[in-house]
Amino acid sequence: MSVVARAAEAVVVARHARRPARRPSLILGGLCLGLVIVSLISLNLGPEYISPTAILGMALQWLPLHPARNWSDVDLTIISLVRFPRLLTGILVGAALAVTGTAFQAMFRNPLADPGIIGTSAGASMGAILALALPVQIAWLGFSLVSLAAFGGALGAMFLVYFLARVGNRLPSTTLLLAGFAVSAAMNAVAALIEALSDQLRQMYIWLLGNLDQNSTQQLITSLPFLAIGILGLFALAGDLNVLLLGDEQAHYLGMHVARRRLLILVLGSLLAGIAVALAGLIAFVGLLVPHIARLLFGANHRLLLPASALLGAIFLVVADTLARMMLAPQELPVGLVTALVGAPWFLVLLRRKKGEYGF
Amino acid sequence: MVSDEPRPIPRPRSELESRYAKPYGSVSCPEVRPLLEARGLTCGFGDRVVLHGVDLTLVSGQMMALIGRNGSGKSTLLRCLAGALAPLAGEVVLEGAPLSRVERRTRARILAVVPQELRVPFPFSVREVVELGRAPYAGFLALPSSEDRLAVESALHATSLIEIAERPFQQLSGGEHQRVSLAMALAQQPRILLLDEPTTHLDIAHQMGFLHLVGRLCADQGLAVLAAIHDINLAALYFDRLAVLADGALVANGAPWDVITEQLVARAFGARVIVSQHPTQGVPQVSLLP
Repeated sequence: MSVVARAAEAVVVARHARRPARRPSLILGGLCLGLVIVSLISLNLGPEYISPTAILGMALQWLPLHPARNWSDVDLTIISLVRFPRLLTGILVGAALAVTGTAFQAMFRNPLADPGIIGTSAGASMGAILALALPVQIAWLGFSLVSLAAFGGALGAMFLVYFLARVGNRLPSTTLLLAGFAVSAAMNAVAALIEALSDQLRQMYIWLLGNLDQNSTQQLITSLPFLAIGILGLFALAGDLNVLLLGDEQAHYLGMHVARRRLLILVLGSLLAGIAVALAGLIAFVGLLVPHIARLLFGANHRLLLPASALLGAIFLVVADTLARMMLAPQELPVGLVTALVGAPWFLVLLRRKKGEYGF
Repeated sequence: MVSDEPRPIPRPRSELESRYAKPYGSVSCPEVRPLLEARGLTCGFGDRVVLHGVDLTLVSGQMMALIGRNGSGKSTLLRCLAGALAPLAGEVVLEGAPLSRVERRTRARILAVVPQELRVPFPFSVREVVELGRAPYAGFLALPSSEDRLAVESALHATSLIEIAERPFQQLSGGEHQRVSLAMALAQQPRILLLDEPTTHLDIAHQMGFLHLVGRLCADQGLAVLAAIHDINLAALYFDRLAVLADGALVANGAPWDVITEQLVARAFGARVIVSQHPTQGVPQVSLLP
């Protein structure tokens, strides 16, 4: 016993001595700090400049501290009703999309997988466009009919794909991808048909490009627990995602019930993708390329990659949204446009630099 | 049942092996208990039956090769023995319990499979790949324990990968890939090792190196080894026992000299050969007759 313990200790010591400089706590701490800084900048900027000290003061007021009041009521209203909900939307949606994209890429062993690969994006667009075409306006828990229809469409598409793709009690990734592709194509066609027949084309187009500016605090509070379940759930499955990278058969040999695990990842991912769509519409790129950027920077081990990619996704979407607001102020650009404009060159630079080590 | 249980047959040792062999050798095992048994195993896909009533017993410390031509059912038998394919009839028995009733993670702690080629699509270091072998021991959310680290470290040592443990898996050669694959299986701390054509993509030096390594692990750790292999000469050199599959049926099972005959090779492989003795190792070798 003591021999084993001593050997174990020697191993641990030796290992730490040789370990290269990829320190998880440092990376995650740095990313958290980055997110805080980016958030503060995002809150400062806008048609009305609000100083960082005023924002910190407002934040402290929430705590049982009473700092000297150095802001006006207008500033407080702008922050609490406009900029903060928008910032929080950016953080939540960015994290949800990046985590889902990372998990789906691992699960499908496919670098082109994104949160919409199993039909969720197409289902959400069809739902939203249908809702926009209808002459009804209802809301539930702060969510508009469009958001609810998008969420319903996303989950509906996911379940449809799941039942189409199941082969006996197996759930092969090839049939999932193909079924996802087919369902997406069909739903996009239906959406296009409704667009062609409707007179709400402009609104539909704007929704399809994604927008962070449509949420009340109530909507965010309602979605928070579900987002937490999805994100933390996928974090807990990091080890399983690592194993799934080896393929179904090898995962089976390592003791995994592949079909069940895959369904769990699918449900958690679709929940996240569906909520992200309901909160912000379709935001392309974040769920596809942020995982790759994170993987190029921090390696492919999901225990570090998933949280890192969540933080990077949040930072990225907050920056993109700030740019979208400021670039052509007072006019706003759709955030989905900015994510692609900013992210694609960054990704290409990284890809060129690390070309040799990043082969699929 | 007991009578036809195979005895471990000492295989020829190389000079190096004899020099470093432990005094008690590989015959020290006090009781030969079957680790894995196939009983009347019939397997297939849908209505296509690939294996017909195969009986096979694996015991600790024994190297068994599964030989046969392409499509004879070698891989299917391995998949069935590893629980990846449910048998149509008969059963697989793992340490006395029907395999279908053994919990998946328990199975993965007893039985490990080395595939023909391990593919890792994303950039992992060698150590990260080997750590995946600890999956059957991981708890929910569990971070690697010191036991996990010890197992990974000793697997890396046993396969001489410790020097390149931090290198990216994708940059390694085919021979190194196979060693990583073996190290991952060893990290599972199994008692049974199944290998599916592990030497197919290797050159002759790496084929010999890899099988020598497996043989040493088998002797040192008392593993039961079953490897599908289609090179008869390699099988005769490195394995104690050969099981021959032809058209999904087991046609021979025994020591190399009992199994490798010109008639059997003609029947199982459809090839004309001459069997002769290896000049230094004393095992049978085949020469092809074109």
